[in-house]
Amino acid sequence: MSAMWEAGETITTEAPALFKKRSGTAYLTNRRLAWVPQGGLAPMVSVKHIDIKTFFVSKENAARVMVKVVENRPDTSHSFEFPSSNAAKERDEFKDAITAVISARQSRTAASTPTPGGASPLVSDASAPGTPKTLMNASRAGPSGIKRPLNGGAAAAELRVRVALLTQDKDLATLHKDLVIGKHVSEEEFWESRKHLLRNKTVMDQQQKGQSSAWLDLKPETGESNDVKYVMTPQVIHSIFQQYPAIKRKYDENVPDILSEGEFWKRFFQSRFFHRSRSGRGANEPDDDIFDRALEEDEEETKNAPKRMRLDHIDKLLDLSTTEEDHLESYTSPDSTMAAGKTKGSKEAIPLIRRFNRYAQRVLNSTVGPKRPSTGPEPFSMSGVERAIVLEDLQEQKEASRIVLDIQDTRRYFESQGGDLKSSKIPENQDPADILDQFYRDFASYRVVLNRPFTIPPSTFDTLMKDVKVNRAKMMPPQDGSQLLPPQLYQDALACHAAGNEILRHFWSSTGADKAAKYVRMVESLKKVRDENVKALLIQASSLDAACLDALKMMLKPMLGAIQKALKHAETRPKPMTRKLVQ
Amino acid sequence: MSKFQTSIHEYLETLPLQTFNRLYQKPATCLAIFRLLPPLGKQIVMSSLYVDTPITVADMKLWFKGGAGSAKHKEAMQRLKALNIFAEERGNYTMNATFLEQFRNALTGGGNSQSFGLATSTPDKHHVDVAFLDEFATKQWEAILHYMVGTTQGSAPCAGVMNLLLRSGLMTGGHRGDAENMDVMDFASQMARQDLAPKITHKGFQFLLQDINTQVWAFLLQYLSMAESLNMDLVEVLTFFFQLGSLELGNDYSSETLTPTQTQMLEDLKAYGIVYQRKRGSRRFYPTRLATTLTSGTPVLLGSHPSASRNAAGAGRKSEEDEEDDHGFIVMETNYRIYAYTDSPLQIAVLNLFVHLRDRFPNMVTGVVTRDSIRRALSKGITAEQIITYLNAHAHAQMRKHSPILPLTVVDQIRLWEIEKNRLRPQASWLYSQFSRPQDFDSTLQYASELGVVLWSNAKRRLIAITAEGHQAVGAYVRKLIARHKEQQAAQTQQQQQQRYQQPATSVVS
Amino acid sequence: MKDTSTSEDDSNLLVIVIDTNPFEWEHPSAPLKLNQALQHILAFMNAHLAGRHDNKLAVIASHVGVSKFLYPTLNELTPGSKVQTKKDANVYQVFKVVNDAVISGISRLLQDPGPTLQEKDLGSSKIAASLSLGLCYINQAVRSDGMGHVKARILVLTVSPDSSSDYIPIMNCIFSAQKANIPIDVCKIWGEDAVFLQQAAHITEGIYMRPDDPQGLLQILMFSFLPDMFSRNYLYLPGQDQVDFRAACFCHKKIVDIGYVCSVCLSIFCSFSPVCSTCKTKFAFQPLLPSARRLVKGAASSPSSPRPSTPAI
Repeated sequence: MSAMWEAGETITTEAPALFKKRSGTAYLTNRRLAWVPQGGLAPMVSVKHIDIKTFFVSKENAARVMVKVVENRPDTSHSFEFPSSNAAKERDEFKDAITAVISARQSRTAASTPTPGGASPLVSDASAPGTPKTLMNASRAGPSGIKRPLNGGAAAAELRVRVALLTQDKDLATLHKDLVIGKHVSEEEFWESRKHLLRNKTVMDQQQKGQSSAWLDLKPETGESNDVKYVMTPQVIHSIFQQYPAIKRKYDENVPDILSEGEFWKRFFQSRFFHRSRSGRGANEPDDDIFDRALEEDEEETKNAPKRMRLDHIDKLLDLSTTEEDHLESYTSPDSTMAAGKTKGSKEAIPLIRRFNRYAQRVLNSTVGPKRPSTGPEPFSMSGVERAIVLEDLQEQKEASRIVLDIQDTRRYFESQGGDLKSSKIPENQDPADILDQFYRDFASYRVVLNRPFTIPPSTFDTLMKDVKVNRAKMMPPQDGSQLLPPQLYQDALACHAAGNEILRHFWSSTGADKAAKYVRMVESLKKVRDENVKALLIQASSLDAACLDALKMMLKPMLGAIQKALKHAETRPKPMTRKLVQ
Repeated sequence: MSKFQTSIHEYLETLPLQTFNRLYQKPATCLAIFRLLPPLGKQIVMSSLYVDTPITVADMKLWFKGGAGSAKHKEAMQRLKALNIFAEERGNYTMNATFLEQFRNALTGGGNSQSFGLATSTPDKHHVDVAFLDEFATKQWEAILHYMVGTTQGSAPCAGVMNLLLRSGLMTGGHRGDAENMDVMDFASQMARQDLAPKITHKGFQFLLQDINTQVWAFLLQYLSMAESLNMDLVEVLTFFFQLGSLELGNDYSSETLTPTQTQMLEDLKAYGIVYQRKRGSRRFYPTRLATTLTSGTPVLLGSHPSASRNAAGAGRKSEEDEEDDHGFIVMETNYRIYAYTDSPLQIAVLNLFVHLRDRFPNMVTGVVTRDSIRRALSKGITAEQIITYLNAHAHAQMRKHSPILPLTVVDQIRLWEIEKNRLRPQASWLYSQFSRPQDFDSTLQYASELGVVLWSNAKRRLIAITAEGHQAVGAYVRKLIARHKEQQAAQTQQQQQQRYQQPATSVVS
Repeated sequence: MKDTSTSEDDSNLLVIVIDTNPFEWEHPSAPLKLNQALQHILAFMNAHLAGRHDNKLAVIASHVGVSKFLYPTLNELTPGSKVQTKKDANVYQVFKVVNDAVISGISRLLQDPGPTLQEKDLGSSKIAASLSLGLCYINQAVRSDGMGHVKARILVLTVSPDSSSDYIPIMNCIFSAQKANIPIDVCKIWGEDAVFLQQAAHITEGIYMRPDDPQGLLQILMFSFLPDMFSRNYLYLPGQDQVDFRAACFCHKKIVDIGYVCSVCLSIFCSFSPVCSTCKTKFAFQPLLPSARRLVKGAASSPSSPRPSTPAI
């Protein structure tokens, strides 16, 4: 644990602090957080900046002034108590300093990563070159639910996103105001449960517009006096370069050293190269050394069929050219219908076909991404050929290993489903056979006489009518609070409801052992919601009229019930919080 | 609700309350009339049957869901009131006391009205089986239909039937003489002269295309209207009809409990094939399938069953499902061709009404539906809907596997051919013209369109055509306008006048 | 499986399951005698048959130890051999056949106490067996119809409490019925709510009722259970559709809001135990907070080992 002071280390903040009830001094240097026991030389606690995951500070008016630093390593945290008279100030100094450290680290991480379009910030963190340790820590921390080391001063980027979200979503802003500014939950906790919003927002902001996959169709605008005008936009130029690599090469060679850009394009549109694939204007183009060469190169490329890609990488089952020789048996000449550029007709078509292919490839790349070397291990470690000829349906099904359900006593199992069950009671002192006999005799002696008048109690119909009314009321569309309450009160009630539910969510998610402090805080918040916010609303409603009050009570009843339940849970729960915090 | 039910309803609803009270004295009649009700009407009766306190209108309204439910409620209640089962008084619905008592009896078998038919106590020496009864009913009923379409098969029906045919307007006599006043003997003598033989009417053609239940009821209703003129008791006749509907096929019943009127009816009903009696005055009778399905609403499979007699004569009684399977015989293709697997002259004659028949084989005929053939049928007063219903009802089992059963193209085309005929539709209306001031025109138009009575309007020429029903309201409105106008301009001599022409305008419906 | 559209021309097949558990009917505290109740039920059957000429009916007795068709009887099922019943000019023959068959069927059933006494679980009615019979009968009827005009439903008239050994068979019946669009209506004539059947009605969209006063049985049957599937589209019916879905723990039968659920057999416990007492699965870990019964979210255990997961609420 202990380490000597390192070279080049400077102390930014220091204060007397108790650690595990021993007095000493806490330091924050430009590299780490350290604590040196009184009289000791070497720090007993040393946490590197990048290892600080988050930290907590005690409440403003708490009896003891404390700072708790949590490390990225799971379940490692250090609590320092500031015993001195101006402890609060010291603590604040530490708080600010650590906040600065963490936010600096965050922004560094964010800045060092050029975020590719569409990738989530999480991915970009992981691929950031400069922070291998963060990567490790992040992935280690993953399963326990904390994906991102983030706290106190959030990274500037994220802050921006939060602000943007709040301005965009009015309801969220209200909730934020109620909860965070009302000090029910901290800023971090508020956003903790809304990570998906942040992520979505970031992703949306970072989304870049992809390149157009439209087929380049250069059409001149015919102006007055028969002159021809081509409009060149960067988009069009980009498309030309993509579709004619030869032009791209020529452009790189000649512009702007030899030709101006305008001149280059002017010559391009006059060249034979440009008109090659267009009909009609065959031979009367002037010679142009640049573009004629480009044409030659292009045709050269065409003639030489593309170098065979390394055949060993081609799936034998798909490569048509490998079957070329098979045709020899049935034809006197080799079948070259599939071979590029070997027939007369295909010669003219080839440049065009090439162009189409290049285009198609580009479209495919933009939608499915460039062809990747296959990643990951082969699922069954079979070769390609093997995989292609093995039919899964014909394989024997492997029995999944599972735990067999073996219920010892089904009766007991289902008893609980029926609530408190008891089968018909047979009086102890009677023989079932006697009952049956009696039953039969009763039945046989009193014949069923259908046309005896029925005596139906009049209450039956009333009960039925009552049931009908109840069912009817259930099917009616419920009256909305917006109709029952004045608009302002309705909005307030909605806000209160949202805040209450949010706190409840925080409450239940903080039942874990590691969140004891938050748990206590949430209990307080819940009480506050119950005793202040709701009460205020009810007072406001009661000043209006009774119907209004009833409606409001109805609206808030489920939430109040839930709060009650939560508080009851809090009462019955042992209070580990104090024990935990002091350690 | 099938057609025959509607027609009985229409008939029953014309009856006075006293008649109903007498009708409802028989449980069998209560049950039969109950079965004619729409489903929710039945439910209202059942729900209230054992409630001894009157049910308030408001309460009953609560039983029904809004929208479609309350529409059904309204419809059902209207029927119930028309049949005098329910009456509304002082915000309560009360059930007709007679109906209440006797319908309870119908359900529980109480009372001693013997309305469900008294079975004979001794076995019949000349017992007949169901197959025989089916054959009998088919023979009798088809004889009537054959006569109508003019096929020579079978003998001419008896005078009673002839009389009924003429009076119901299904056929007309050979001369312009009034069939109503025709004496039976007179009629028979006319029959002798071939050129004056009765001809089938438009109504008769329509009749042929209907399902057999509707046909039977049309006959019986006609019988009812005749009964009045023959001094037969309407209630007894109706009660007997409904009683027949509750009997069981294949059993013989005693005619002892029947009133003289009803005994007299047996003879007539035998002629239609509705009951079988071995000889006149026999003390027992058998209801045929035509009778037992009278109130059921399920199609009887007699007349449309060309092979009924064959089957009946065959090995034994076929189970009902089998009959269900082969009662269809028409195959219709999308190319308008029709293949009808039948050798019954009756069926072929009916088909001939709207199909251009091409070929005839021992067991089938082929034909094609053409514009001409349909127009021929339409001109006889047969509607496209009737043709389609007929084809649907008699579609071959193979066709029934498809949904819809008939090819849509053909169905649509038949409808189009009908619409073709009806390009003009006359509608009685009032034309409002010569509005002197545009605001008068506007306000009148607005008022009328709120009422939904505007047929046509032209702002330029200030013309509005109002339906005949809307005239009263709109007319009053215009008069008020004029009156107010006059008051305002009392000083001025200038008079505004709006004239109304009553003229049957013809609105063009495309 | 079937289309759920209804039309007013549908014929209705009603399968009535009558619980004839002698130990309930003969119980001193029973508010109705079986023959009194039967009077109501028979009138209700007639009302159903009166509704339409082609309405069909099947009646099944759910007795202790045996479950049996009362109508149609075996003779009825084979065509050509109709039971000859004495005719009565005051009764519609169709009603009479059914009524006589039901009464004589029950009488015969009660006459022979043999199967009842052999039943291990005395006092539990064979509801599940009757439901199965009913479903089979419906299946046959619907198939032979072929046109989709027969709309079937089941009405269970019961007096017996749930029998826990019946749970799986009843649930299987419920799901079959649900799949075939057959609503199961339940009338618990008296006594405690029948929870299994409550669920049956709930799942199959049938009606569940436990009348306050069984004396008015006929009125209740007519009002709530007579409407066919077509009419129900337009009516509000007095069913009680609250179902108690709360779970009780297996160890103490306490209703729990939050509890431990065995990941293998889904048994519910109010406190942690290292071995599931139902299926004997061993849990090779400790829960995070053994001190209090409480919700454990995202327990950090390896995914392959069984672990307490989402609580039953």
